[in-house]
Amino acid sequence: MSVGVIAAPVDPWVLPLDGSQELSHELVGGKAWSVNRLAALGIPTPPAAAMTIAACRVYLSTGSLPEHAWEQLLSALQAIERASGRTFGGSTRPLLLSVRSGAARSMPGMMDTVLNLGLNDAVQSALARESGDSGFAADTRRRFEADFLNTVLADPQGSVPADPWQQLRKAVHAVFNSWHSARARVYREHQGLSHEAGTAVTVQAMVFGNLDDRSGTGVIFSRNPASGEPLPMGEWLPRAQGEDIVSGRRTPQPIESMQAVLPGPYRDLLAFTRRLEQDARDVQDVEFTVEAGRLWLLQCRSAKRSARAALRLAVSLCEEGLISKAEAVQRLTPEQVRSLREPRLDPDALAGALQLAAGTAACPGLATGQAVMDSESAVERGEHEDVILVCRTTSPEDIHGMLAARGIVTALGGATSHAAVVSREIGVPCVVGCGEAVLELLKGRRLTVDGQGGRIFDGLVRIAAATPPDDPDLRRFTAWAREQEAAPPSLLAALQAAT
Amino acid sequence: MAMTDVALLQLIRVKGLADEAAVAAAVGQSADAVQAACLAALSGGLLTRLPRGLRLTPAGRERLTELIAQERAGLDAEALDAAYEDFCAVNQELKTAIAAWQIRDDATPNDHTDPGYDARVIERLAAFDARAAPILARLALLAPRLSRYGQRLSAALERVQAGDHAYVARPIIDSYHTVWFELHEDLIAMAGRTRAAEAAAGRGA
Repeated sequence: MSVGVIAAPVDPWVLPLDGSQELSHELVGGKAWSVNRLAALGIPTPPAAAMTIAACRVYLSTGSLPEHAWEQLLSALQAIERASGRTFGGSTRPLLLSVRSGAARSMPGMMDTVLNLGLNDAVQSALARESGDSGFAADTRRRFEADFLNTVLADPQGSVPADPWQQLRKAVHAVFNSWHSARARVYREHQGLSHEAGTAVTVQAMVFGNLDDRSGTGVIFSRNPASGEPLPMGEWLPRAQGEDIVSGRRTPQPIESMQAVLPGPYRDLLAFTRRLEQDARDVQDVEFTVEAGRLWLLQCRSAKRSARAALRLAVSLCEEGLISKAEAVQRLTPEQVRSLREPRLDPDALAGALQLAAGTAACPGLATGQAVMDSESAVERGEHEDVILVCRTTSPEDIHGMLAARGIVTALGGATSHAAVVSREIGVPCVVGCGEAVLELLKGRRLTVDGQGGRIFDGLVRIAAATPPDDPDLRRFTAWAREQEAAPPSLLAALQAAT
Repeated sequence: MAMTDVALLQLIRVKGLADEAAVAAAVGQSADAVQAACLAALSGGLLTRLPRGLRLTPAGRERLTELIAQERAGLDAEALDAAYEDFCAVNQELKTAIAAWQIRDDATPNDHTDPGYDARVIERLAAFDARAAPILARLALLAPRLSRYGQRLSAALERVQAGDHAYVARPIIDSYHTVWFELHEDLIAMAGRTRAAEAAAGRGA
């Protein structure tokens, strides 16, 4: 930030993500930061640039992009064209773009993304000629138009502009506007994040996981984020784009199955993932795409993890010399230490469990029982057996059924819905907003409700005991914490209670 | 004023099960008046007595639906819709405040060991109560029986401010959240809407 009365001549609103300079999360958001870091480490990532979070704030307060921002984006686009050897809107070797949001603090899935941008009739023909596969070109066009209509125009009947630059401008505006979307606001309110911060836009050359049989897309963790065991785990989908995994339309395969089909990219993927873990000194969650046998990494970040895994990782990363004892002690929150004392789903049983539904985690805890579809049945059957109340929404008259149930699942509503508020008051594990389909899907089944993870599983998933006080990792961690003068008292108190 | 059937039946419907004492406290009537009204409803087949309290029979539900339709026919529909919209406009604010009572900003459960945090949430609830007062006043002008909700909300807030924190959100008792939600239920029926449709439209589930 410059100090003084006179502003810098031209503020940089757009920055290349080529690893040539260090960037901060506050400047370009987590996604762009990681792309820049990949480039700096020499790990293949498609050429990209970011319009800054500061530009977003100007846009949201004035309704238009700051002066020079668009020109800067166009010149960054030329650099992407040079690096990729492709031309945006071109009739040979066309460049398509992904346009993604990315805030300083992660808000997964809350804002807008447009993939395959830059397509019109001429570009689709060029793509078909180049790939020799008109089906691929048509599939990509269909994906783009669906994305653009739904997220940019928010009108399924709208029409997509043929001019790629107009598509880009509208997509950038849409990503910025999505900062104020209802779901993003609700998420920030729930997470206690500020509405002021804003999001960056990352513009990156597309690579195509849906190109051919030597293409695909997936996610890999450098270690198991559920157990903390030092083995990479992940999943991938051959001949697909990332949204196919996220949407759940197709079932991904375990990452190991990639070895037989794409041995070279698989070997590189494991090596890069290790490298990123060493660089970040923490477990990494990496998104990748293979296009015609060539591996590209699209994003990396520190992985979300269970409390048990957080403990295992803090101890093992320290023993491996990646982090100091002082850092290890900072890797667990008092809340995570407390949750070590709670039972959890057995990781091995979980691997074989069928997840039926997911929603918003409303009240933590685990529950198993027979699904009942209304409060009266919950009251009646709850006297003799464990029941899970499954219903569209709850209202005050359902309280007696809620009290009789071991767990609660609703189709509609969020973290402040009646079911969520009441379940927390009465301490009954609860997942809300799982979608209308659960009313049919869960009927008559035995269920396991994971109120912490917001997941519903088929049948009774084995529950593992809490971490015992004499667990070797817990003992070691506690000893380290007691050595640290700077260890927070709340952490020490939680450890005291757990050991 | 004698208790109307619609107030009695609506209260027992929304509570699922309620005994006479809870009904009397909620409707603000004497125990005798409530006893008499409940006996009449029991003998009329509108209520049934279960071990843990009174419950609406199917006939009672039908009767309540008719009574609400009659009540609705006598109301200014446009004014009612407008008042309902006003209610929805502040509904999320209340729900966020209640959630803040239960979950802290860092997504950890509020274990109520930080009196400063709790005091801030209670201030937020009181500020909300003041902002919601004109909306409740308008509702009471539309249908006088709704005035009881404002009184019950104030009573809940007073108890919270006196240190009885169960009256923020605990179910069954007349906590702020319980009463607010019962009001929402009542308004949905009065406005001729359904909870499922309202929830699907994002207006509270």
